[in-house]
Amino acid sequence: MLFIPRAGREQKARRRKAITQPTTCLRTEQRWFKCQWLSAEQSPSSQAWSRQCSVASCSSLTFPALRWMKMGEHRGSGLVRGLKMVITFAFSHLGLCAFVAAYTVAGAFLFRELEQKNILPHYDSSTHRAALLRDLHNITERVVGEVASGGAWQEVFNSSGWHEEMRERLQRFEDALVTAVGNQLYDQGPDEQRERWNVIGSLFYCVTVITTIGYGHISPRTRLGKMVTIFYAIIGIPLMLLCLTNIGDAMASSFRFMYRRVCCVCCNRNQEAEEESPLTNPTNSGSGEAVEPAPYTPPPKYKPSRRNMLISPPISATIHRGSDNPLKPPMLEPPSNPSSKASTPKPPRPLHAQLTLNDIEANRIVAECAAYTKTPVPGMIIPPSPEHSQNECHDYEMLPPTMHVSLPATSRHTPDPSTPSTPLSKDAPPAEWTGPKENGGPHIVIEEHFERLPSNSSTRPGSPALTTSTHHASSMSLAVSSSVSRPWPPSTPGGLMPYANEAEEAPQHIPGRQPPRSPGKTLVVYNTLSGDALLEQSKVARRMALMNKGGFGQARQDATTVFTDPVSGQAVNGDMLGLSYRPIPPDTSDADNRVPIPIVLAFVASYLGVGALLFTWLEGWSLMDAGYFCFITLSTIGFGDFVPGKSLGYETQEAQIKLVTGSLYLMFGLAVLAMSFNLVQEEVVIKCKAFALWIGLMKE
Amino acid sequence: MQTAYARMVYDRYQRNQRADGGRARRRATLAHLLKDACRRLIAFLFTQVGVCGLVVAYNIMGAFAFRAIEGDYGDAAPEEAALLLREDAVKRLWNITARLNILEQTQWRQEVTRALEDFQGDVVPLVKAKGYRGVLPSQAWSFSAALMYSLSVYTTIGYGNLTPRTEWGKIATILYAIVGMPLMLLYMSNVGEVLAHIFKFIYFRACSCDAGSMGYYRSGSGNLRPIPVTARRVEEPKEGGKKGQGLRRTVPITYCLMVIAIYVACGGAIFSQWERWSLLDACYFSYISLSTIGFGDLVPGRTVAGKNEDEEVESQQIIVTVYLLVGSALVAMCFNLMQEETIENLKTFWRRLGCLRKNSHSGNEEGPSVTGG
Repeated sequence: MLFIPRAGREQKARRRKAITQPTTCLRTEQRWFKCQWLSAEQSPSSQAWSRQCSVASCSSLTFPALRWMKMGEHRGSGLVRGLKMVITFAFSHLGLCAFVAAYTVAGAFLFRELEQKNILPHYDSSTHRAALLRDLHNITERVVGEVASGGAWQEVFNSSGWHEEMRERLQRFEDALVTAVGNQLYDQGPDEQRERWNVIGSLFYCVTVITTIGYGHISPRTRLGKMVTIFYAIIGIPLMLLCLTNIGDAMASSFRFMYRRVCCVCCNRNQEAEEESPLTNPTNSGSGEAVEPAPYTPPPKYKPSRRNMLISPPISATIHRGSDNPLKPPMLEPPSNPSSKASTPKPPRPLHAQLTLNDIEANRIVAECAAYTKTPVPGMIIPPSPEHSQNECHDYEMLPPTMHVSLPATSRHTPDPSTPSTPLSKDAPPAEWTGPKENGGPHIVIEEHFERLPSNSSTRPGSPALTTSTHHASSMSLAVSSSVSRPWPPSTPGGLMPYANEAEEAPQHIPGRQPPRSPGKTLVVYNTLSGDALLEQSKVARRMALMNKGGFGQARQDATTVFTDPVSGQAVNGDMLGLSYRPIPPDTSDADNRVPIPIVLAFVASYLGVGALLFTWLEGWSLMDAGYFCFITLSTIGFGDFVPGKSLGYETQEAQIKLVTGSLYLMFGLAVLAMSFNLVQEEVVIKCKAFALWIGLMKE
Repeated sequence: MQTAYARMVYDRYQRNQRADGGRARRRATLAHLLKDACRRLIAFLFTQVGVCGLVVAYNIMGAFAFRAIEGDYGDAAPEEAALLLREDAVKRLWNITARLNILEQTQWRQEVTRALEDFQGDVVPLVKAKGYRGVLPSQAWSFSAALMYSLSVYTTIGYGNLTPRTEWGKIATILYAIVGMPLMLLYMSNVGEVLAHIFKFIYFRACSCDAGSMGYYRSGSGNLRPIPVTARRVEEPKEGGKKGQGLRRTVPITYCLMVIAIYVACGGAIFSQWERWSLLDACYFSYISLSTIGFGDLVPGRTVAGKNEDEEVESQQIIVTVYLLVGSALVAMCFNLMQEETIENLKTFWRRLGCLRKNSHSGNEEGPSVTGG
């Protein structure tokens, strides 16, 4: 599997980072960073650990052993290690599946033992018929007696209600018959009843219990059987859920993998080919990092989660909306033609003044807001040279645009004084994480990404590098986030007023680090999003902006707090503004290649359709009925009006084959459902959360 | 700086005000009002009360819909066929009786037996293949029966004592389930959370009275309310072994199980009275329903559905519906509490094993309890 070496490297890097990162914190935010990192360090690592364990144990059984050896090398005796291995295996896919299968089979034998002895008094049609016959005869005889007393017998028969009595008696007979057939007692002698609880039948019964389908085509009749069913379900249902969740996870990751391989390769082959060369560049050149003291090690654990996606778009939207300053109205209005920017071969220098102005305008607002909310904005780095800190931030036209254009080139190559001490450079992260580190700072990397822009953006100017390749997007976002997450230099000159400095100095770096996104629309500084979030962002940002402009969000109502989160209506505080670092979601590598919801739905629907065809062929139901059966089964409603093999009475060989087919279809279908839940879940949660925020249900 | 920023914003605001014309603005605000009202309505619907109301309304709506689809315009072909069969049988008997003298016992018996056998042979396939229930659809799909049917659909219980026969009924069932199941999940999570809070509050209040007897609540006796989650998280890892348990503010699993067991037993007692089932059967029915297995071998009102004691059956079925709705929320509550407790236990377990370095738990074990709810 692809994930294993990478995951291992990630974890190693994380361990190191856990040591290195907090030391780079500065005093202003030290506490904040530290607690963030501490809290963040735990869950992702453990999640990654469990993930690794499951993946590794799925692929081969030797891996967990190795991993456990590694993990337990400094603690734990052989016993503990063995116990760990056993537990790991028990919770791996294979172990869980085996456990569920064993549980089902054991249940099958148990219920067979319990129920086969119990033979119900079956519906014997001959005795019922005999009773009916006797009754009919009695009625007739009584009427005949009346006839004998005198009168035309036909009139007597009609008037005495012979017909009605006959009809009523027949109906009673019929009711008993219907009940008997419904309870499967009709013509079910002891042998048939015993046969019904043979191994296959009880196996299917167990499956219907622990999946909570409960067809009810056979159900326990003895007291003991009922009680055992209750306890069997108490244990079995959670077990089944656990197994399904686990298998769903595995299937979801493989589905994602396949989706990315199959679909995206086909769609974006040419684009990927273009990106291939710049992609390999940072990873290959990562070897040089050991020589060069890493000025900044990106916090690998703090790839911001996708949840922060909700934070950034509102900001950009707000800025965009609020930026119709009379002073600079024309520059901010459209996403000023990105193609012009994209076509520039050397981006930082030939940036159009217009673009820069846009950024400056936007950035000043951000900076002022940051100052306003007393928020340290990590993306805005205070350079060592303090001579620019003279301005007051409320002055609109104070900053000449030329300064900002020219500055990036100079400040980019100055080694940052906030470089961590040299011993830490030995703990350099593996090549994956080293993108931002080369050449003395994150700016270079971003510039590199920026330079890569033109080739990509020829196709999609809005968000070129983000949509073409997910891998690329994630690496770029890493770079961006690393640059953003750089802590404050310890030697800040204006130490007393760090925010004022930051507010003033921030725009200087912006042109250089402008990532390839639609200019003037979103702010780059806050682009602390992971790759998939970036992918998502353009959509969401637009929607949010619309929402915001529409004004039915609460942001419009209180215009004084500009940094209102348009969804929650709260003023965005520092945590939400720039320092939006959260622990990595458990599977960021999977999240990079997310599968869109319609495709998942189509997959499930096609599974239902295949099942409908299968049962149409197997059972001879109509297509509608078979589809209905598949839905009722997979949603675990399980009416039991259609059960595979029901018409054959569960005893014959053919019916048992159908039962087995049905249960296989059912088990696999449940796994497919779990997989699709897994695939869809995150996106749905995000959407629901956005919706809930929008309607004001949720705070924060 | 704050003032500067505020001034900037204020300027912009003023300018915007000036820019927008009066009429346009008023229309905009009207639209806002409408939209805001909609938003508020939706927001209300997603609160606990709103979700309860939504579920009940959805249930009743489903009952009416299915009653209309299956009951009024339903497929009564099997019943009509059965009626015809019965008439034919009676006619045949009459012919036999009229033709043969009643005194010819053996002959009469033979012929009648043959007629009855034919009748039986006709009825059985009708039941097996066409789902003949012996009751006309308009009677079988009484309001309360339809209520129970729609409940059994969206809770995925699926008793199967009543099933749609028409194509439209099947399609409606599928659509109803697609919408209803997420709604039910929402209901369960929402109401379950509230119930969990209430239960926790009551539990700790009750426990504080006899703190000594319970092993779970030893320290911090002055504080009645459960400590917020963050505080608990911080405190717990420091305590080792027994003391950690003493500080724990989660409700032990046994209590949750007891709540469910009591609820099931109560239901069992009631149903055994009503339906003249044995106590075990009634408890079995409650459990099978609450766990959404729903075999359908025991269904309240089934034996007498639509035949006699109509009103009693109706009220019973409605009460069963309410019982199941409340019960599912209760089960969700217990899952909520049990999940908390299980996670705590597993954390301690893993920590003791040394698998985890910090007080985090692996996401692996969270699975059953999370999805269980």
